[in-house]
Amino acid sequence: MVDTTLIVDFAKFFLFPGAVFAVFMGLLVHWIDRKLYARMQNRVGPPLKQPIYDFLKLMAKTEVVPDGADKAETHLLPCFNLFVAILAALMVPLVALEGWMLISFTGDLMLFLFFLTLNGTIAVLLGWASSSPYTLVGGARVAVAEIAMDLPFVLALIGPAIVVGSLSISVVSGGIGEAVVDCPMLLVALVPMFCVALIGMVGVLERIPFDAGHAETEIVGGWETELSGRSLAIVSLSHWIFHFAASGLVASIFLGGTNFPGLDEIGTDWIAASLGFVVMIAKTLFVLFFVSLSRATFSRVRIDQLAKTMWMYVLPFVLLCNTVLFAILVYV
Amino acid sequence: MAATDKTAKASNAFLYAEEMAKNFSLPADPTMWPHEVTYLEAPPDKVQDIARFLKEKGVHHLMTIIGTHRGDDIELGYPFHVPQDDSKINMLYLKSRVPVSNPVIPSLVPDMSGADVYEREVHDFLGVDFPGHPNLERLLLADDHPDDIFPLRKDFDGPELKRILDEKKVGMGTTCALPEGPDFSIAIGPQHPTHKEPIRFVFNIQGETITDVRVRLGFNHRGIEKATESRTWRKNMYLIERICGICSNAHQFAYSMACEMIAGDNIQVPERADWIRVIVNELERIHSHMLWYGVLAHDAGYDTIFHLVWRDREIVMDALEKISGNRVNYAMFCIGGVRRDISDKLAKELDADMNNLRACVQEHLDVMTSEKSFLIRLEGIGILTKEDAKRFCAVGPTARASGVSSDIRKVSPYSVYEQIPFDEIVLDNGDQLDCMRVRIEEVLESIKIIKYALGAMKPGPIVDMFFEKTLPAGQAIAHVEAARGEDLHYLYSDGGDAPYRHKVRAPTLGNIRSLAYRLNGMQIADIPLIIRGIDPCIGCMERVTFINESSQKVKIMTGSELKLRANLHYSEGKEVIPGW
Repeated sequence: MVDTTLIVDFAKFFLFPGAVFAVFMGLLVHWIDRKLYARMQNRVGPPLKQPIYDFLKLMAKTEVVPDGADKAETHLLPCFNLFVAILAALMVPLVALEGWMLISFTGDLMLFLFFLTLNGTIAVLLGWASSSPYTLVGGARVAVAEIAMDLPFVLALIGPAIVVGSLSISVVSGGIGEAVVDCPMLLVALVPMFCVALIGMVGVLERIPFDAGHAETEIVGGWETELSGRSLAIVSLSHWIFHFAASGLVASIFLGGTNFPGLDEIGTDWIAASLGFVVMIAKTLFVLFFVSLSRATFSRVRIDQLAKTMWMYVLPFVLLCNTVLFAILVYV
Repeated sequence: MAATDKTAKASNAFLYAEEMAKNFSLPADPTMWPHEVTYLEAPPDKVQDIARFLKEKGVHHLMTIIGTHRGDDIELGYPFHVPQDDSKINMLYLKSRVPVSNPVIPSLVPDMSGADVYEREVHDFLGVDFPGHPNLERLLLADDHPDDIFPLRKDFDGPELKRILDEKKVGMGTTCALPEGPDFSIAIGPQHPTHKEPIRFVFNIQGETITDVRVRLGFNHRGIEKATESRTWRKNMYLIERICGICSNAHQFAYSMACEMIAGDNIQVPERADWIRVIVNELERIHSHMLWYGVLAHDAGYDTIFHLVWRDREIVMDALEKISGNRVNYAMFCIGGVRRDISDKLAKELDADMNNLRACVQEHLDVMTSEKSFLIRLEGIGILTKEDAKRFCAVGPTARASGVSSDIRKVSPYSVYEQIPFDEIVLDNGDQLDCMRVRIEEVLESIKIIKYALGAMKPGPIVDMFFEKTLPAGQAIAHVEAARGEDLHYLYSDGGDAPYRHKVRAPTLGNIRSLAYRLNGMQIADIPLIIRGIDPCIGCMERVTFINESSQKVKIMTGSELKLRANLHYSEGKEVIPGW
């Protein structure tokens, strides 16, 4: 007698909405980003299958590790990166049903942010392990960028959590809409915080204008320079899964994730949950659109300009937003 | 000629030369070449004094150093720009002679920093020693080139030199190891995503800041100066055009002008040919500048602008193709005129194209000078002050961005440029933003010039055919304003059917020294933006021949068919060859 719940649970973690789905979304997000970027530049852009071809081609290529590099680290760190990326993707609530939110507990928001930081740390370590001038410079830049970008990002995400009074992603995403309807004044603080979260997300994901860490026209490919073959394929895949996870997080926290006005009254739980899933994906893509837009609109800023902008302007601004939020919560 | 001589003798160059001949008790008085070049000969030990004297008089621009091996001597020519009172310049050609057995001449670097690369070049190719030079290392020849072979000496002719070097396997199998230094070193080039052409910079860095930079050239050195000596005057046109894929036309312009100067009254270039030369030359400047500022945006990570600029650049490329049939090497010039005419119908089309182009370029200028994230990458970066630009003998838009008036079209007008109303763009900050603005605004000026030229062209012959095999004995320097600055061609004819000595000074070499200087103290992230002065050459084919393997059918596709095919391929995934 086989325990069917075990098989179902395994399928949930492994297939949908688990690991395989995360990989699929990573590749899809990659294609959408490239397509949007191309259309904004008056180009045609790649066909839908391109990310899969790219991934398979890289997997089939010979892997070259430089003489001075730490071989164990350059092989293990990409796998670890993929593992962390999939774990982060599992924490995004996609289907609002009992038992379908794969990793969900009070405080998972903090764990998620920790994973995002870990992503940057792996880049620093990879840069160090490859031991070439380009990777070392790239790694050092990622470290500077990570410290500068993480703080505003976290402080912005914490806003809705304070409003709802929880550190669980699914609870915040369920409660934020209602809270705003109850007190529209909150938007005064939440809208700027959403913008800061978008900026922070672009930075944490190392996209233009904050991609000094692997600026290919300056330091070839930064911390990625010496990666090749499988390592490069896996690192880029984890990168794209993080794109999906991070934009899913911002969509959940600020835009209410799977929730939509009037959705609860429709039909059975299953239909409502399926529609919620579609809503969630649409919101995620909406957030991702801004990443592509910023890539097409801005040029790359220097690492010192990045740090200066973040520490001098964005961080005080988001602190101010938090203060305003507290004031509204206490007095209104 | 007599009238020109009279006015020329009143020029500052001639006055200074006369003064120097008296002060330094030189053996010979200055003489005049045709085309207003003052010629002065001096013994080697006086050259440094003369340079100092000229510097006091405000002569700061040494164009190059031309070394020629003749008999038992090596002749060294120093052409200078001498500013006139009316903001024009005149040329002073200072010549000195050293024996081959002991080729030593004092260095000019202590007085004129710009002489640095030129002296290293002469040192490489002719084995002349320059005591007083701070850093007389190899610049262009391979590291394993034999120390006793000097390519431009007349000991060997071209084919024999090639055989000897092949036998010794020179330049094969060498690597570019990073030199040991006290700081952390980072190499840019010979292969790097930033510049597609091989050149090598080694930077010493502390954190993100550059503390020292070394430049090594010669990865693409093809020995063209030696090769032209073994080809006829007319054959050289094809070789000269292939010096560079982007300013191919400027090189031909200068070379054919130098040939025509040597031929003197034997060749009268018709006026219509001059107008066509100017049109092609300006179209080339536009496409080079547009390529440049597109790539500049790419270097700053601003790829959207890169793609849009290159899309609009197609207007110029198509215009060039309509005129010459080619996109890159136009083969428009011949000694005595041009090879193809511009019909009235084509002139109208070109005029309309220029109007379209002006709207596009105006938009690029607006966007690129107002996008904040792009501006902070350019403003105040890699500043070259006016004094430094003069000191390092910078040329072209680089010098003009630093406030030095250096447009050869204005300061020493050639062809029909004197008849054309246009402005020389001179800005004064000398940072990367001004380098960009100079070029974009020059594109607008070039559009103006082309429109004027199309209107001013009168019907007539386009070439004065020159059927002789040889040119009379003589020498001439022609300089033109190429897209990147002054392009100089020096020709020495001994009356034979090939040049005895042909010296080319491309504008980039004139800017290398100041480039190395302005990189100091900048950040790693600024490197690609500052180096951008060295344009990559991209040759793209407009037509390809397709052969259907099963039927052996051959089809030659036009540009528009290729574009259609590519669009269908990417949008619908179809392999379509229309009309196949």
